[in-house]
Amino acid sequence: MLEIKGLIKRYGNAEIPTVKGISFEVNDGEIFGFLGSNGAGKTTTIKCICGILPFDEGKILVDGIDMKENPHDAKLKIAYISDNHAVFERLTGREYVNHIANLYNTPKEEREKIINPLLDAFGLKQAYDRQIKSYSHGMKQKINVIAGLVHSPKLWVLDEPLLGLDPQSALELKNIMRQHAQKGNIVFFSSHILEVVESLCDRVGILNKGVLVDVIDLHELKKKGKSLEEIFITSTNKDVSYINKKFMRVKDHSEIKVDDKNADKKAFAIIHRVLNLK
Amino acid sequence: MNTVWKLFRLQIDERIDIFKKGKKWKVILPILSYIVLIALISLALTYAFSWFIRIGLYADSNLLAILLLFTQILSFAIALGSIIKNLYNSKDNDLLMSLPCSHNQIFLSKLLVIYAFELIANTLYTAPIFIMFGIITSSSVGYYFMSILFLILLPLLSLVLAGFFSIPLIYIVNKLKKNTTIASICLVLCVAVILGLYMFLIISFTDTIDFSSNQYTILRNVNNLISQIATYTVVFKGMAEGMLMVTGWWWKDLILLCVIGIFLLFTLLIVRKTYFKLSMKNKEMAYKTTLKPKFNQTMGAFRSIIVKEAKTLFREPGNIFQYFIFTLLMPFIVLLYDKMLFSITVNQTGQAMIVASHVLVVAILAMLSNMISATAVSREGGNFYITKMAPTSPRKQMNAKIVFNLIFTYSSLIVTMIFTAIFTDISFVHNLLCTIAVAIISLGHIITSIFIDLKKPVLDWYDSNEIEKISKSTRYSMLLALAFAFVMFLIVVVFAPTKHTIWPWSILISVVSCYTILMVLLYHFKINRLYEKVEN
Repeated sequence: MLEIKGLIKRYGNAEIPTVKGISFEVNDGEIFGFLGSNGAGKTTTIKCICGILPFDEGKILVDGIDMKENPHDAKLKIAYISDNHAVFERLTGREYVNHIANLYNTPKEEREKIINPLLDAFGLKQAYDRQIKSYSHGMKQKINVIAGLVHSPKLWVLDEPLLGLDPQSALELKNIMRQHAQKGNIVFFSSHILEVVESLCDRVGILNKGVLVDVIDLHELKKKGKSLEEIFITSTNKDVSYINKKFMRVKDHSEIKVDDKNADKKAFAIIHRVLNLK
Repeated sequence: MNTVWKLFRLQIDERIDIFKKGKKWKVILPILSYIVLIALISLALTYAFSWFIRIGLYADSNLLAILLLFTQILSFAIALGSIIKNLYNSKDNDLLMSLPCSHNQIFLSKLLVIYAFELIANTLYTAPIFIMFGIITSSSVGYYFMSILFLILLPLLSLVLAGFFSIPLIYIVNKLKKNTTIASICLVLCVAVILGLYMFLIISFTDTIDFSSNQYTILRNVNNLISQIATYTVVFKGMAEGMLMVTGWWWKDLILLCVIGIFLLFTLLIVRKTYFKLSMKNKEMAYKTTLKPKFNQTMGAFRSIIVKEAKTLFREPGNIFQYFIFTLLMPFIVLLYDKMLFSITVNQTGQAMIVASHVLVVAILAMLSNMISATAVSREGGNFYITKMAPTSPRKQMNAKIVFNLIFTYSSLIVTMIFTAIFTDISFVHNLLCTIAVAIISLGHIITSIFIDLKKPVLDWYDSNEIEKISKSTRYSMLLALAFAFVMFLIVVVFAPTKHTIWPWSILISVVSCYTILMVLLYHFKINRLYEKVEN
């Protein structure tokens, strides 16, 4: 199970955090879609879950292991497919996959059992011993998927996984995601393609300006005859700016000065409200 | 012409802020620093050459021709690299080709950009020579006028020559790109040839000039050598005579100008053809380097990181120059340096200075071999997330990078020690203790370089060659290397006159050990926290 409790992530000294105290759970065997407009905080949340970004407050538990307290064991259970297709381009596909497998300490027999069927499924066997710099975007995404699955992760996190894939490979990837979840693992992915999310996921979380505004059971939604698109538009249009005030920090009260006499009342009213909220 | 200018600005804006509005200080500050740097170099050169002139060096057209020859060899090398990188292999070729302008306009704008950067580089080291020469020969205004004219013309000459030689070279480079092993071997061979030539020149020079004789004999020999070499540098001799307005200069320079002009037109025509031919090629799939199929190999995370480092670095031949040039050259440079020093007859204090100078050079070169650690994190770039989310502690990952760096630095140090022991008169004890001291400080320097990079890593780059331009960590690490080496030199010089040979070495090894132990402790306690803070 993946448990996120009150996650807050702030970049640098920013007053308002990018991720504002979100909490949710994803059960074993579930495919969970993570939706939101551009800049909503999806990638930041994902990077916190994977231990790439440190976070300010909250808890992330992967299969019961706390990411902050025991990052090594938590990371052993995670695979992450980034949206930027970043790989060590000077390595061959084989070298890259094996390097990742080495980092996760995967035994030789196990990695061969996983790699070979995936190479066949993605039609990547011919290019496997070629340097990745000669791969197309789609091929880089495929080699990333193989490298991600080589240690059979409990939690598989994918950021925009279908970007740049041809229809055949996209279908293969969707099947692999389903199979991975059927084995009792968690598939957690972000996407802008609502049709894909609707057809693949069991539940979705909708993020709006760093606030988790909705967690929807798609099976329930289908029963009610509502479309995800409708819900998504309503959720992402909700005004969540009031939450920002909760995070405003007044570091040193003595430094607050109001020069404009006419602005006195208005300014004090705002400061008073902020301090009360804190 | 307006389009060419717009294209030119577009490419300049991509590299420097000179035309950007609202960034006055970002423009003024580099220009001021550039002028100050030229002034400082001019001052230093004038001071040094005035001394040589006072003791008998001839400041005539021969000397100016030789100085021009050396500066223009450097300009030629820079221009050749610039043409290959910014014309044929430029990443913006595809973008520029898609713009609504003719191919000739693109080509012309690219040449202007290359010329502009060549002018900046060439002026930096040629202008101080002209200024120095003008001052020591008390030249007339005409000389300075001619100097400005030649400062504008000289980069053109380098460009024409580099353009001509770049055509066969780019075909060789593109062929070699398909096989990085052969490329690396070729690069090492090239370095060996250059090194061989360098050694040949130094040995010939030291053979011609007997350093044990008095300074007047030495200078007489130098003057003879300069005049002999100058007779072969027809073009530069002509230029030098033109600048100094020696009788009959104008017709020689006129012929020279015509020859350069014709050669320029001819080169432009063939370079233009090659440029478009290469730019049209689909680069994405051009280099399908298939390596021999292997089996899936298992190894520990630590070893796997070292192997990954080696493969990613050595499969880019440019990296050999960028990161390993000092490692490769250290034994030879130290040997030549020692040979030259030992050819001078000195007293006991002089002997101590020679040993201290040996320490200085070995320390500088060994620590310059550590530049790779100054980009240990930045080099990961967009792939940093892979290492960040790996279930391997940051300390273990960085340890692998330190070991990778140490393998090369220590190998080079050991070879240097062996060369010094076999070919020079430095005593075995001095040689061994120097190697130990430098080996210790190298570890401290590597850790410091990693800390510098970790504090402000540059992960957002497109081309790995950009890292050193964007990141300041390499520069800081180099400065530290120079400072450390100088301190080591001072310790040996200051404590050498004492009775016991071992005394300066004990102090030196204690000081460098203290620093390195401190860095190791800091590394042990802080590395994980610093690494976790890095965000990408």
